[in-house]
Amino acid sequence: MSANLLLGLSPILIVSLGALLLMMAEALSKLRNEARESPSSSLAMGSAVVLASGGVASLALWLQGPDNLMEARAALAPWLLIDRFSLFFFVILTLGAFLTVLLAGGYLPEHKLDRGEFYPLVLLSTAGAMALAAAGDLLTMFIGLEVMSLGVYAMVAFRRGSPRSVEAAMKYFLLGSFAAALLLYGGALLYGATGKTDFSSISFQLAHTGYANPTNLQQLAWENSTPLMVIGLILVVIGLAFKISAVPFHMWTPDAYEGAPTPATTFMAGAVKAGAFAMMIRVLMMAFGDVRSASWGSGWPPVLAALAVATMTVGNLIAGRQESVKRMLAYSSITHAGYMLVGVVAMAGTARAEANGAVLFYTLIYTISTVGAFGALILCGSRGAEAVSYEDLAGLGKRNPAVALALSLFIFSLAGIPPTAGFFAKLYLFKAAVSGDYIVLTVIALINTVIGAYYYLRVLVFMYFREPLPGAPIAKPMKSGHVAIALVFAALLVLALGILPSKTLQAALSSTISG
Amino acid sequence: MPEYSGPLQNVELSNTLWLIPLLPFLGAVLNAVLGWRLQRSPWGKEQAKKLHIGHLGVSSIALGSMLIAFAMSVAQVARVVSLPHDRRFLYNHLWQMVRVGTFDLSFDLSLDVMSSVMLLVVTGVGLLIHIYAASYMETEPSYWRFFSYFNLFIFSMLLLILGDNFLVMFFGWEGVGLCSYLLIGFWYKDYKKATAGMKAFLTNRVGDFGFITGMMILIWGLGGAWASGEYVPDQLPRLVAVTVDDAAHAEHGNATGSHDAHEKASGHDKADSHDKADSHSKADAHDKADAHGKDKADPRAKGKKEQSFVPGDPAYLTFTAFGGAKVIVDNNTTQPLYAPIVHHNVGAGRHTFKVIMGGATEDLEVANAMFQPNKETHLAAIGPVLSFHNLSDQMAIRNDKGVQPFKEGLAGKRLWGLSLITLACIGFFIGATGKSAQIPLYVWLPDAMAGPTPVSALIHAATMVTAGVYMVARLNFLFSMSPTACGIVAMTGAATALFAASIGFFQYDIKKVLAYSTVSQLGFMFIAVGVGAYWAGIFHLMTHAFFKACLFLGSGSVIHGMHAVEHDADRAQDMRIMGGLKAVMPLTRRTYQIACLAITAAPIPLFAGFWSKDEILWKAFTTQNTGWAPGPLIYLMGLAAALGTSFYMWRSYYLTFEGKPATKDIPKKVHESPNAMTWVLATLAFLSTFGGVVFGFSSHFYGGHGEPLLEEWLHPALRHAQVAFQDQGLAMEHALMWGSVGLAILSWRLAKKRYGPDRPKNWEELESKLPMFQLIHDKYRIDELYQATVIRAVLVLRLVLRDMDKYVVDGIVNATGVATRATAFVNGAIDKYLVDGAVNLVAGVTLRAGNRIRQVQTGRIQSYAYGLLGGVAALALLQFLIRYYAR
Repeated sequence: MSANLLLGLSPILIVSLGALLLMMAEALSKLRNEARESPSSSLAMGSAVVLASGGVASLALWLQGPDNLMEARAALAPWLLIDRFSLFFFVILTLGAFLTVLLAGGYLPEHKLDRGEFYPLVLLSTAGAMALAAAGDLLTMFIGLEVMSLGVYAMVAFRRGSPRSVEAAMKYFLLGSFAAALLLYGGALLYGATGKTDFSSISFQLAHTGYANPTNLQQLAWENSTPLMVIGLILVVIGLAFKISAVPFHMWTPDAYEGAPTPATTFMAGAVKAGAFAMMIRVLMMAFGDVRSASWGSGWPPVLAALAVATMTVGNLIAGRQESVKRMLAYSSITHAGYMLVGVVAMAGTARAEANGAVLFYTLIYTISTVGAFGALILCGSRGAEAVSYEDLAGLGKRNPAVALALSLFIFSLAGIPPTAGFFAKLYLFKAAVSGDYIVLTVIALINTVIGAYYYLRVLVFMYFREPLPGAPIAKPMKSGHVAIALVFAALLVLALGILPSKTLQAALSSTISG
Repeated sequence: MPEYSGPLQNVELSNTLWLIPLLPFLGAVLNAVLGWRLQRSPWGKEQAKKLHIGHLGVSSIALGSMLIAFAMSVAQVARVVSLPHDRRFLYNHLWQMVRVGTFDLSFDLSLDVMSSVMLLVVTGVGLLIHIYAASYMETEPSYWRFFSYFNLFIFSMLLLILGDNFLVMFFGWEGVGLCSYLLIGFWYKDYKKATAGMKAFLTNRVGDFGFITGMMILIWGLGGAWASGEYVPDQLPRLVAVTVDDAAHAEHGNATGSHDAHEKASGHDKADSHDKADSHSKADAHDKADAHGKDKADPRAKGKKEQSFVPGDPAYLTFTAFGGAKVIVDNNTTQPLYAPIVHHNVGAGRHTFKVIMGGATEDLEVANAMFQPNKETHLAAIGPVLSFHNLSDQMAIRNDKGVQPFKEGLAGKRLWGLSLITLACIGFFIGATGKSAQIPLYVWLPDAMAGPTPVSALIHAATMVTAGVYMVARLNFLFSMSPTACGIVAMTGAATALFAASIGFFQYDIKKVLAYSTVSQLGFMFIAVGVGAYWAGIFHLMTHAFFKACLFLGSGSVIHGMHAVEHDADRAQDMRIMGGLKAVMPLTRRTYQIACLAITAAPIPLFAGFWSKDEILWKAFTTQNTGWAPGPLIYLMGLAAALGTSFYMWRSYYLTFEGKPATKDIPKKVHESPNAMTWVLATLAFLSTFGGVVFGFSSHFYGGHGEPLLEEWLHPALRHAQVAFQDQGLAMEHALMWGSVGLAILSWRLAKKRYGPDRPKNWEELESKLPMFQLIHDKYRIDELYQATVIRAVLVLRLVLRDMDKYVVDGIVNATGVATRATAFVNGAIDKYLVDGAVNLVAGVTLRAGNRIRQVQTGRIQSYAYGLLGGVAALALLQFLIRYYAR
């Protein structure tokens, strides 16, 4: 039994034990000569290996089928649910973190931030995100969320000397705590309303206290608990919407993304968002997936649809006004959260399984593409000559064609232009929304992709069609094996999944939640 | 289980189709990777100089790949020609991309009769323009980059043409847009040019939005239906066995339907055969129904019916959907077949098929399908299929009662109070207006002339811009189901043709004239596909590719020459400083003249454009397919546009080549272009001369029964479109034809008088005094209008949103602040009187701590937090309202 349990938990265990080991290694390595050997050189690869093994373990479990681990699942449920859904997200999370540490391996030494604690922070946050993705209970959800977030707060403040970084971290921390408090409060209300903390029981209560079995007592119980349920649901959703930076809970995003060191930004835009999305889907589908709560007429779908429309549109329109590429990417990540929310809404429709697969696939592709875009941006600049604004990128296509090509590829994927995977992810997501009968929502999303093309293309215009103004500061591309490996890997994935998406999409489709 | 039959498309497998797009792709990659190094090597310098082309290595990669691609295209089309009439369709399954639930997509290529025409035009004209460009771009420093993009464009265009489904087509669709963008901005040092590229790309994205929306609506419509306000997925079978009708009967039957009056009037025999076919099939159906009736009463009757053939008789299975899926025939698991299966003999009789889809998709089964002896039976995919031929087959399937259940199912669906098929078609048409520069999205094409001239000729005249026309023609079976959409297509085409022709009147830039002429000619093609004369649209597409490429390349040759006297790029294209080039550029002039004859059909109506344009106008006059848009009105608009064409094209010819040179330097310095360019011009001029009469002439012009070669050739691709034309008689046709020629000649005379060899010296001044001159010269100020409305609106919306972030949130903050202060005041008042100094002390401490925290926080963080709270309140309220109304 215990062996089975360990096997079921292995992805999270590998990552967290790896984090502890690396922390030890880092502490002991203070003995070495720092002048000759930088912490990043060993830690980046070390944590990449840890994350890769975590990812491989998740993949192996996915392939083997979690149904073969019934004992472990029984022992872990309802706190952690090891099903295909969480395993798919484990792969996304470890992949995102894997690319992040590789980027950090190049970025931190270049920018003289080379302190070893970054890597254990990434690993621990990832472990938190994995717990979040697998949580089946309000309590594990909160613990997972906090474990994930605390690490990220520290990562945002990693550039201790820079007031901007510290301010960003402070903002993120304060608002994040605020959101966490809302989430906790929502959880408390849900507990008050149902007397349960795990999602399946909450769902059971919801299904059995409504008009469906209209004995008077039960009906009374339902009516009494309705306001609590509604506020509880909304607060939990908002706590998670904050992490995925849905409008109007997005305001911290550009500041935090810009102030943080770019690898931390990457992690926030990729893994943190993916973890929060996993949780959001699970809460909505497991706890509030009953017919009444998940119907357009009486449940959360319109709320989420409003959130999706606001998120897409506002993110998109403001992104177009940015002069800083990093801020543009921040707003673009908001927009993408909006698209994914469209998919989540679609899950409440008739094409639930399809929408589930579409959102999972989209999350995967979005994570790779956005990490790739930030990574390429890292590679575009070097210390003192960072690539921040569009102007910095002027003429990069000539100065360094390889970097420019990589950045264009990821930008294409984000913009959804074939043959990159981003196109396919969008197509399938919108197709799922259409099958779920959300045509208006899809049309709004499509219009947004048209608007989005404008600011994505501006990057290309500056790289390929502009010469730098004389005397203006230009970004000088840095050299780093770590970053190059990460980018090549991500680029191959983006292309391969754009041309041969079938297997992965099928995997995403079969990665459903099983209570 | 009902028995299905229908005129389905029989196919042949091909394993080599993918090689055609691969070659230009390899060329692009080779030049991208090696080009810049190669270009610095001294190898082949002398030969290149002799030939007047750029670097020999780069050129041979680019031209070589094009040449082989062209040769292979010819070979493939030859194979199509060699096939029997009903099997002219090559299908090449490459790999399966997605197969989940009802959604199935493969990366497939196919070559049917329509894409054959496109394929030859693209690779043939493409090859010619490549040769021309090798010389035109001779001195370009980024010669390799140019050809890398150029080859990449051809690759994308080939994907667009050969794509067997919407997705592959869309890959090409986006690819050509991207290449066009790269090539328009090729000389990007000029800011204006980079902007032109951007404009093209963004306008096309608007079009793409239409394309994808149309596709989504179509998928949705094929998949399910509304029933009393709820969405119900259709309970369609995913797969049915369909017996292919006797192809000859089916084709004749539909052919008479799709032909215009001549054939109808003269082809009594055909009509008869149609009737016969009809009655025959009815009788058949009757028989079957009878047989079924007897089945119940007497089981032996069934056996008797089926024993009317020998069990050993061959019967053929074709299965081209779900590429790669495993098919088990009659539970014989030891010898499974793999899709695509074509013409596989399974023996007559009843068979059961199990299709193992693989992955997460459930398997399909077709039980007890009847296989008629010596006939082809297809396993046809039903529901949301994205492959063109599967979709068109689905619309043609009849059940044993003679109705087309899937077509009628789709045609009956409505969305937002409109017919679903109309909405989908409008979506696709918006996509087409973007790519093919129709109103209202045409604005990018004139700006796109900023690119090098071969680019204008290849992309913005001959190939990419016709993609929209090709798409509509490809989807003929859908468009013909919606007269409303057809009316929109035809009217938009007619309006664009007229509008753009009028803008062409008073332009001075020779390339701008040609650009507006292209927009106008594309309008003609849309008239054709709108009124239901799909073949005429493709025909005009082809002839236009010849003569417009010739015109553009001719103008390129002129600009090339003019650079000797005029170094400013814009002024070198200005017709006001040309004139009299006839003497120094005889070949260019002659070819330009021939191309002018081809496009205007005046004064000599024999060249290519005459045949296609006349056919379009005639079909527009007699159409019965355009719903709300009357055919004669479309005809009149088209006629007016044709007259305008004659005027502005001859104006451009006379201003450029005839009369006295504008400067004395012209006769001395300007020379004819190198051979590589003039030979290409001569070839295109040859095609512009004979391309029309060969494909467009038929005996019906003198009362015979023949069909033009191209129309006959395109039959198989168009037979599912049900279109009808009035019978107006041969006399009427000739009257209209010669009438329009006469008018065009008048308009040519007018142009000759104003701008001809002995034009008045002050022609410019005379022109500018004409009414509306300024407005037309300014292109009706549409760009300014867009700037002031659409673009301004988006910008304002952005500002509003930014300010909303700023002010609304601040407003909430301030309001909350006021409320807080008010509460604080009340509290303070209570405090003041009720709480003693000890509390004051605590308050003091808090205050000081607060001050310290404030140093860390900026003001904005509070507003963020309030925003967060506002969001919480709003969402909770929304959810409550929903719950409230749900009760």
